[in-house]
Amino acid sequence: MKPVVLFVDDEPNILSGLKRTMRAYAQQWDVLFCLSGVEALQIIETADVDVLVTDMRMPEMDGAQLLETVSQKWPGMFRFALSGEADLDLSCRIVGRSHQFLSKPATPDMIYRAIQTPLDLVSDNADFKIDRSRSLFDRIKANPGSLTRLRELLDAADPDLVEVTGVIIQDPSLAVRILQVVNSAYFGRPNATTDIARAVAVLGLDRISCLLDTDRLGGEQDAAPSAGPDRQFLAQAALIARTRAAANGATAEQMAAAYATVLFAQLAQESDRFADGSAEWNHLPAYVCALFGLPAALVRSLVHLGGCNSEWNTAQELGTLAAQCAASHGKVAAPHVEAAHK
Amino acid sequence: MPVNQTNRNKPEPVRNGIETLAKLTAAAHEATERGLRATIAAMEVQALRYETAIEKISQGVCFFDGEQRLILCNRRYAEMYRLTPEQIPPGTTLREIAEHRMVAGTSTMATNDYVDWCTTVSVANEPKVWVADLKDGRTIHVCHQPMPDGGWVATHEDITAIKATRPVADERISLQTLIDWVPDYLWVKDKDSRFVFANKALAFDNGRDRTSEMVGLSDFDLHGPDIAQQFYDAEQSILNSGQPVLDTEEVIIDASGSTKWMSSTKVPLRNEQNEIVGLVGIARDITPRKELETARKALELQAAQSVQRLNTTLENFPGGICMFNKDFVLTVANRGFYDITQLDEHWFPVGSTLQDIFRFHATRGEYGEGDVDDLVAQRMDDARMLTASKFLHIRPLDGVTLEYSRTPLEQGGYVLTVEDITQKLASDQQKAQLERELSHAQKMESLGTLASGVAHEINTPIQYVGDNIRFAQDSFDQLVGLLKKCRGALAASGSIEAIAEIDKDARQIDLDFLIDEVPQSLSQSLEGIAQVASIVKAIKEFSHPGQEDAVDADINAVIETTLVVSRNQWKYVAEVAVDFDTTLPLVNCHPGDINQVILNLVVNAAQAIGEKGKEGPGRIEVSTRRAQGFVEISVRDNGCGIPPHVINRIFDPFFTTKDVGKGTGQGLAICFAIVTGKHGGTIDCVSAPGEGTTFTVRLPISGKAAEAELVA
Repeated sequence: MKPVVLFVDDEPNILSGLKRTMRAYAQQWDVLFCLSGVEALQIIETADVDVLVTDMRMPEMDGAQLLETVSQKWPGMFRFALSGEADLDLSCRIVGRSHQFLSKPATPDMIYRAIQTPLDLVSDNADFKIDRSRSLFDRIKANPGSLTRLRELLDAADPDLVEVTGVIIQDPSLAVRILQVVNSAYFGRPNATTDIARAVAVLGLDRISCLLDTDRLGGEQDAAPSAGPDRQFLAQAALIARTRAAANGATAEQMAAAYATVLFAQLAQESDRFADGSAEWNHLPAYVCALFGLPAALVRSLVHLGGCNSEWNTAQELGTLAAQCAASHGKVAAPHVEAAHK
Repeated sequence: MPVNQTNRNKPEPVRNGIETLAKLTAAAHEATERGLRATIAAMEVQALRYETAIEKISQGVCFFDGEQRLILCNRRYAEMYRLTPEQIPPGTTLREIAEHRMVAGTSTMATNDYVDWCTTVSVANEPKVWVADLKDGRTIHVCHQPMPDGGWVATHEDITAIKATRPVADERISLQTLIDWVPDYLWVKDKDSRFVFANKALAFDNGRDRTSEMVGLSDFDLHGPDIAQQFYDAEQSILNSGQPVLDTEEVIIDASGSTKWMSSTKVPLRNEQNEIVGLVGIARDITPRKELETARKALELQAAQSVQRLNTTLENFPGGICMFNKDFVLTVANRGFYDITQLDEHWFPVGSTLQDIFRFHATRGEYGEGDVDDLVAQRMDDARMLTASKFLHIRPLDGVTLEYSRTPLEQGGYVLTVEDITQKLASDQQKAQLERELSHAQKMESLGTLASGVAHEINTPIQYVGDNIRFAQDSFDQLVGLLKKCRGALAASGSIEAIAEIDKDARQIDLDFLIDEVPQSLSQSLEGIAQVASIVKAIKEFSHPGQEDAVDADINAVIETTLVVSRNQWKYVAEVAVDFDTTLPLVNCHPGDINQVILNLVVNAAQAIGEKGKEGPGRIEVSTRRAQGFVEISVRDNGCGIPPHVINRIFDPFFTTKDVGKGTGQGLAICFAIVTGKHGGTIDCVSAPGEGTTFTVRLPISGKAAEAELVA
């Protein structure tokens, strides 16, 4: 059964255009179109929609409302925003309710890759079907201590970027969210990076503060139980990964990739425990990364890690493994170079 | 009262009284008979005793009876008035005695007057005392006591000696009073500085009710140890040296606790052998005088200080202040006045005339061309009008702008202030410049808001136009493929007519041309759409409003954005070549501002090329590279270059070499402000006239704050 992709836009010309270009992928997907959020919800109720791509500004129900509803009812559905606008408040509202933000104009190829990359990972695994009840980091719960500390730092007269980075890097929930946001077009030009320090600097403290204010950094009331990843384990593993990477002469980006590999490997594993009876799946971390539109190198590194099929019991083992995987999949290209490729 | 009872009891006492009387009479007879002789003898002895006593008494005593006859007088009486006892035997009349006294020269008045006077005194029936001055200089104190039977007794006392001592006693009494009640302190001390005597004022102020309580005390009993020791030392010094100390001012604290200023004089006290046995002191409370004095001194000091302050203020006041009196003579002038007007204080001290000063300025040419006398006369005429006025004067010698302000005084003359406002004018211009920059920034911001709104609107049609063209492209390819297949099939199996028909139509629509050109037209349209999309994206990023914090930005991307936006400004005169260092780190900066800097530099470069004319192809090279904590951006053009004499002024506000209307002269000034002020970087310019100009911007990678730390 082919995956079902639903496009929602109140501009008929946009839909017509998409209809014409998406016809090229008719072999792989069943593509549906509708002109409003309400209509979209009706379609989702009856058809098994796997991927939702929605405009932001629409009459009646806007994109943020639609994403909110869908993320609650069908948390496993791919959810992308496709919009020509990057308004700070509106963007904040859809962080954690959507997986990626694609900015208009987007070429058919961009749309295709955003959808197909995670789908490819799913189709590689015969046992795994997109589970629409599975929530992947939509409502993560951060350590309340980290959030309080972050708020204090941001409220300071002259906030220290380094300290803010320090808090985020030590809290996996925050780190994942920051990486997701910076790699997508939520706040303008996307930056392909796995480096938390860079992500913090590029996003700027205003945006981080806005995310914190709107409870999009793991402070939600209905967030998943806090029996999340063992922070100490993660911190150790991440440190080891970085150290190994550094010892092997890795660049700053590679060290960051090693860290991110540990981060996602561990987080996905934890998340897996809460998954609804699904079989354990080695490529879950890579799948999440692809869904978030993180750099291809990181996805490859995680695929590599998943393919190793090896268990890790200690932070040392995970760290060493992550450093190897990150190193063997090249560096994350500088953003303008990556942009130029697109 | 019960009458009956009285009447009934009356006869009893009468009877008893008679019986008693009879008994007494009998006893009297008996006594007379037995003791009369003894009684007489006793009385004679008694009389003799009185007589002897009267004779021996130091005063003169005399008794007269009611007939004014002498009963008795003593010897002292007779002697006192130079009479003999024989002259005045008992029975002598007062008149006779007076006559004797007259003869003896001891009477005090005429005999008749004396007798009359004594009569009045006797009749007065009360004692009378008087003092009689005898001609021989003696003074007799007389006390006249009338007797019940009409006579009198008189005592006469010679008080000449007593009277002689009286003045001394009187004097003593008044001196003691004086000493006691004088408000000054008076005292006598012994050799050990112990009080022998102290007057009331001193005693009371030391909390003693009686002066006697002071005796034996020392200053150590009265004052604190410090003051007491001080007094003791001073007094011992007097006692040892014999030198008095006059009018010394001392501070004491009296028994009531109030501080007093005393002026004291201490003099050594000597005995008959001229040995120092103690000292006498007198001290006066001069506290009120002292307070007045202190107050006066304070006032004087205050006055002196205000004068001093005023002088200091005047001297340090950056502006010039001076005063001319009604005769236009300089009476006050501060340093600023001399400095600003460039007058020499030695040539024009206080006392110089305004006319001389005007003449100095006129001679120097400060009032422009013309006869010096006329110029001075004009100025004087103006000054004599004595109106308040304020005027600017630009000194032709050095271009300094002076602001004069003249305030006439009531008593004639005026106060003149002068200020060098050259700098102030310049900073006013700078302020205006800042305001213009601000308004420019605001304009840019609102333009940015508008632009990003428009950009969003444009993005929607771009999305579907692009989609549609792509679709048409793909579809056309498919259709052409199908068409070719149909033609092949037709050529192989169709009728000749049909083939001819199709060929004819194909020629008519120029099918081969369509097959070549339609795909091209579509791909070119896609290019156009891509270009529109990139412009829109650049506009959005370029004018992104509200980004106030510095963020880490990719300088290469920032420059690319700017080049897209500014394409229209340079594409007709030059081509732009970029040489980016792709390993450039992110730079902590305000990307919007850096956009503006690059835009200004690129537009300037394009204009420099345009100005040079069509000598050759214009070229603008934009490159980036990393250099030790900085990212260096250089914009090089092969335009007309900047003449050496203006290159130092290119970053000045309002400096422009462009034709009117072509530039505001703000561009490079704004660049300078953004790069150096806002980012802590540098901006330099190297230019060769006729060959081109290179601007180099260096931005600290870690931002302005980190740069400041490095420098510190």
